[in-house]
Amino acid sequence: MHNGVILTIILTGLRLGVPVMLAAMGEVFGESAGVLNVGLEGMLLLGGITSFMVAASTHSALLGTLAVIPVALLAAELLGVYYIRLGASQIVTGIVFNLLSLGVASYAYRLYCPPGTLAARIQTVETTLWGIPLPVFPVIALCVIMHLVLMHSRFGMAVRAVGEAPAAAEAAGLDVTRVRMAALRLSCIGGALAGAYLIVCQIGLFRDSIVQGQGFSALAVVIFGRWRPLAVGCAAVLLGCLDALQFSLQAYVPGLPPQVFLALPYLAAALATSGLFGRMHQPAALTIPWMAGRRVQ
Amino acid sequence: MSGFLSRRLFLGASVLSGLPGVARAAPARVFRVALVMTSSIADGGWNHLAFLGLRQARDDLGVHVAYAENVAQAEITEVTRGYADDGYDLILGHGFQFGSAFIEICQEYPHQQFFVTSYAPAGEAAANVRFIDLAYYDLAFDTGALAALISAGGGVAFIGGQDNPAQKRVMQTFQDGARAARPGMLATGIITGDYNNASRGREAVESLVAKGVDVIWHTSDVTGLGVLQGAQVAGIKAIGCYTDQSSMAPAAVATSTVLQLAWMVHTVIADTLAQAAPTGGEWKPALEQLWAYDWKGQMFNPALVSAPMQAGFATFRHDEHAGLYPRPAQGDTP
Repeated sequence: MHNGVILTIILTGLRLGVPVMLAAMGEVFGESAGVLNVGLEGMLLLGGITSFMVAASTHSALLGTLAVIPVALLAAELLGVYYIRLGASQIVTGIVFNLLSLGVASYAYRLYCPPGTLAARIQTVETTLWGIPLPVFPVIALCVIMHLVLMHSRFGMAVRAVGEAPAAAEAAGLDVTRVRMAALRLSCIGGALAGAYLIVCQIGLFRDSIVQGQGFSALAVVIFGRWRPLAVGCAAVLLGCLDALQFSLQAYVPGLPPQVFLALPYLAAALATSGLFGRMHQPAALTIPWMAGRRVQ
Repeated sequence: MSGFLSRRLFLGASVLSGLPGVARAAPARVFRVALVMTSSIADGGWNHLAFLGLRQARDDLGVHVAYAENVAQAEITEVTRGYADDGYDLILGHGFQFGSAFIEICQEYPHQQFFVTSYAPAGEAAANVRFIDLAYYDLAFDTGALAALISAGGGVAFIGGQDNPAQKRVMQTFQDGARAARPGMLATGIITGDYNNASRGREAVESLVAKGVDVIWHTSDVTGLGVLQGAQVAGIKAIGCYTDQSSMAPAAVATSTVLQLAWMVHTVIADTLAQAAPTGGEWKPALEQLWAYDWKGQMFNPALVSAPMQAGFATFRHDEHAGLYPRPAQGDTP
């Protein structure tokens, strides 16, 4: 493989990795605060349908992207009631939310484009710099900012404190519920923006199945990156590169069965999340609900 | 799942109809058809067309119809049993995934007809499960030749969806067709492993363009929508699939291989309605009945397929029918 192919793999990996990176950036805050947002997949879908409908109606990719933020905040309030205020199982709530989101997005799309009519599509953002789509740069910058905020700011410290030791955090004067809600809002915004990125920067149209597990990939990437935003961002790009590698290998080594290549990204994710490589220290209070003054088991 | 009559409702209605004073003369029995799909009817292609055929049959033939979409592979048996228990006369499974599941459960419902919109799995048969040969391989050979003839010389490629024997054989046959039309031409392909991931489709195009490919054909449903988008951005030609996909990437789509799925579903329902008892076997319509090249009502996009290219393809097809291009052996037959 010559340099051109390697460059193609890296650029393709970057493009494939960006939506996962965006979703994972928010999720790393949620998980660091002790909230596992399994509903991330549904959040991508809601972000996707919202940005599609707004961008198609206004012919503005920017408006389509910004419109997902209020939807994400609304979803965070709903999820927060179950995840944080009622102390319900975060896994069960997330799964139910994913199913609900599929129904809502599917219904909204059919109202917007009834079966039998010509499907609407929007103009995707295709401006590039050095062969890299322009929207990738702010996402990378966001990754650095999120790292600085989580690892080196008072807010980041508060987030990590409520995820590690909520009782101690509360004793130190932190409002655990409030901090967790803030982290959950960031998680939902990240997921919704990832959905918007898929629509306005990659595909230009909507289908029910457009997300196809990228929310779950983001959950795996957060573990892969050991809850550190910069490492999480790199892990997202690495998985994207493995996906891109299997495309190139299929094209350049046609005799080999494609199953071998198709399994590459999943194999890497499984190994990374297995704990076999490196110390894995997840937030101690992850998925453990907290009620003011008492821990709920 | 619009129109889905649940088993609970069915049982409740049965009990009520058995009560004294509630029972009434049974109305003429309406033929009932269910369509089960693994993806959404809003996919603009494979499932959408089948749904249109179902709707048309309801209007033309007066049958009662129901459908289930986004059915996961693991739920196929359960959902199908639900329809069979509810007494549906014909259950259509839309895709390769349904073959083995229908064979597994069909003996429990010997008076009901099952139909799979895919080829019959090797060595498996049942008296009440019908299959269809969608002539994918003949189409792939022709389309490989077409791609080669409209290529600027860089190379041609196929992008497939789920990794299954049919997709791999379609890819191989496409490559054979390309090499038959232009010996020595680069003919390659990628199986993305997914029918529903448009991002992957788009990025697969990038990988192929880096290798010099300038014409791509897909049979990968939603993933294929990304393929078309990627082709348009890369400035290469693409051949759509299932519907006329010229609106998806106007600058890239040279033509689309349009499958007459609505006709097929309608015909299956009409035939089953007319027959006295369920049947098995494989239906083999002619290639021309099932498939057509279509670009906004014409065969090709004149901006991308010049008159000499069109003439070259017509000559190739004529020669192919005359037996000038014997197909290479394909190994195992799916």
